[in-house]
Amino acid sequence: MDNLVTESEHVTLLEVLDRVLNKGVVISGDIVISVADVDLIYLGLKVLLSSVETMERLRGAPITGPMQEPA
Amino acid sequence: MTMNRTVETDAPETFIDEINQSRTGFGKKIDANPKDVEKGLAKLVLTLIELIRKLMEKQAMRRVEGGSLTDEEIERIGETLMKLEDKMQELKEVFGLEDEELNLNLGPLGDLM
Amino acid sequence: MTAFDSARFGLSQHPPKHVEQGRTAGSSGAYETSRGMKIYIYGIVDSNDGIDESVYGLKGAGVYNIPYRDIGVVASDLNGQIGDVTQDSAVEHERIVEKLMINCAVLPVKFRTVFASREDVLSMMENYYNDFRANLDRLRDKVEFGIKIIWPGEAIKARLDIDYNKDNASVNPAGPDLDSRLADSPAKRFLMKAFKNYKIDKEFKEKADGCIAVVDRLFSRVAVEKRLEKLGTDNLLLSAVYLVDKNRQHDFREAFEHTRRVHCGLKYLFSGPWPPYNFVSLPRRSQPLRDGSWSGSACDKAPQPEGVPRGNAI
Repeated sequence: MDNLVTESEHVTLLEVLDRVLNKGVVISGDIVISVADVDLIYLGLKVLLSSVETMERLRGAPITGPMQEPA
Repeated sequence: MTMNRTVETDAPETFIDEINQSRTGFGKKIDANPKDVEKGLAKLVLTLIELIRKLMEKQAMRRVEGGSLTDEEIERIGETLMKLEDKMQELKEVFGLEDEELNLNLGPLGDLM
Repeated sequence: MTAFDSARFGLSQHPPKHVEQGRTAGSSGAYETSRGMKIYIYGIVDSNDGIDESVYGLKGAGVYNIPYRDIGVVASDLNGQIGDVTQDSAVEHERIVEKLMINCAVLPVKFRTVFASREDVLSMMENYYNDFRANLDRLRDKVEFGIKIIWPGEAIKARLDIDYNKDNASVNPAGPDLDSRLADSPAKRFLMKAFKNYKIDKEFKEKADGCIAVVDRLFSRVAVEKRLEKLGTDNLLLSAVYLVDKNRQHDFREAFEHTRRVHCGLKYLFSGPWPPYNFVSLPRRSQPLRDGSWSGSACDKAPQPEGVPRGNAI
């Protein structure tokens, strides 16, 4: 039986990001300044990390609907 | 002693592809932007309508499965489901909403649909 | 038992030497963080001792432990804006949490959680202490493993479609006395198509549940808790996390290897051991405001596990 491929950098990244962006202790309330809405943008097999604020700044307009993948 | 943390797979590209697909959709994003109050309301209302439509469809499927529908009933149920689906499509287009957006996250219960 | 060495830094709220460039006046890194200095946090730890080694976090700031009663929150000082989101900073954040896990139980905190001041941090700790304490007790000496499985879902569905068409070529739902005038109405065609999708979907899900039950059985014997997400896509049969006792982690790995040998028509992704990201359980709470008052309705006591599976409610 063949061995598992040890590490794919991209797969590792997806596993790490899933945990760190969405899971764990999520503290709510006025006293926490958390840039909570970090989003993953999938470009084919690549992945981009962006906060909603950054995306809005780059586009020059608030994000309101489903995000279009850049062509 | 803890093992070294690894991430191992025998099919990296396949997993990347499928994981990406399973995550698309904006169910988790809530439109808190005040300019989009209308859209937020539309989303909520249409989500509930879609829920009802799905429940009706499920109920219809059970009746069909039961096997004892008359022709008239088949025609009527088919007609109703068809019209409901067309209407939902229309409303989604009017408000510029996609299928993935018509969902609610119920915390511990997962997504509504 | 805490492995944090309190001897090295004396008072545990004394941060180690900063390596950050261009620090503003006043942020001497002495007993208190200066005004305007925000606090970035990484995790809640089961220790109120200082951190033994020099660990550097966001923007190269030194990482230290802020004690609160018998636990602590691991933090670093943040000068100015937090900066744009980058993959590197996310990976760095996770690396620090994993480092903490070596020495004691840690509740990982979500990426980019920042407080305006140390007072706010302590206020938060007071608010959450009981929940943190309970989670630390439950998760002590436990690690998380992730298993993802791909099966030929699309092919299975296609097969079900072919079989359905074969079996139902001449069947109609109304029973034997079909009125042929209605045979081709759009409404009937629509209903039949919806019904076919419903049946195929139903059988597909049943097959998936069966397959999942088989692979899950072995893992569950070694794990104390689990979260399963089924059919994230047609091909992504299972995306699961298991909470495993530290001294059974090799058993878990063995269970995985065994499963992989036995069920070889599937593709696997194995990850871990991780800190217990998916098993931290914090109840909903009303929002604490800056002036110490409370907003919103009374606390909902129902536990809300973080990292909840994306299942369907209906």
